[in-house]
Amino acid sequence: MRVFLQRVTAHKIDRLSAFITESFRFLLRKQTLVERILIDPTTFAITLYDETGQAIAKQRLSEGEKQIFAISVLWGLARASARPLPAVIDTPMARLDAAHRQHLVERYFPNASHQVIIFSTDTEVDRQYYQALQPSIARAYHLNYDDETKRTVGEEGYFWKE
Amino acid sequence: MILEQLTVRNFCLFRGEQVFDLTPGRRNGRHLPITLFGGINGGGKTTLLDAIRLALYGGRARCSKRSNLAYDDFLRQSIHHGVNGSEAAGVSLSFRNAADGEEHLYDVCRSWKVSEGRLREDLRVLQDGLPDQWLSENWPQLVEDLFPLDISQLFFFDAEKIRVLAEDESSSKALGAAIKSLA
Repeated sequence: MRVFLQRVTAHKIDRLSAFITESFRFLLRKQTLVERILIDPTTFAITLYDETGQAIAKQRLSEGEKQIFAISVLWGLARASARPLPAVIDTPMARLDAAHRQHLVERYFPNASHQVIIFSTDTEVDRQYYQALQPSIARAYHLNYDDETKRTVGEEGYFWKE
Repeated sequence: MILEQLTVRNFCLFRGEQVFDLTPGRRNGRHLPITLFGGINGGGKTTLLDAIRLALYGGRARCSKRSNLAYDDFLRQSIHHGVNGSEAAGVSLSFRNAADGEEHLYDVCRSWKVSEGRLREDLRVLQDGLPDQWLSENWPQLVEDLFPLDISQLFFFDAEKIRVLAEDESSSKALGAAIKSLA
């Protein structure tokens, strides 16, 4: 029984590693940075490997790349899960460059889960990205903060009406 | 699991009761997964994320705005400024969950107010629209079965802070819990 459990877990971990690797390569701008991602079956530590099989220290990733890596781990989990949970994502793109932003908007947000709730400023999901996301948006709200009354009122529609 | 509706009442920046529909949609046969909230910095985006966490987990919720505050103090401070003492603040979350071939709609309604200097919190849980005393009393254990706190943090997240996954080995604990839950 124990061996069986270990095998099931090993299988799950292999599958999860494959999903995370695929997600990371799909979202990352540098296509050849990472060849493979492995998860240790006992400690669950995640290691990145380049094409030559060398481990890549995570400290060498830029702040933006670390964020893309973390999102890839979460996306991999959602994809590997039989009953995924909704993805609720706050301030998604503040530190990312244009290529990574575009990848998140076009590749990740519409596919992050069966339900995706995004909290964004107008400089993250801007007009151009709003257009790109539009085919996947069920509804949008604008949290309209009034400085005078110090209140926020939620209104239907995003920052601007199309 | 599908989140259907979030209601906030006199919660932080939100005065009175405001309801947000979160249900995914469908247009021309195409699934529309996204609900998009736009707001300036300080406009209430993280407040709504906190409201979802707070509704589900109460004192165990890791709310961004709580930092080191005791739970009671956090609830007191999150009552919208300018409401009079007799008005309650609250957060409610409705979600649908399927388990063992059965789907149910849950409404988790958490409210609190200060009366005679004391904070009172009330939790009511409805299943398929009917108040359920047993669910209400046992909610902390039930939510942990449905939707463990450690795992929720991998799905409800601040995309910037989540970078710690790449930096911090202790976050592998949450990851381990999530891997075990993949059935």
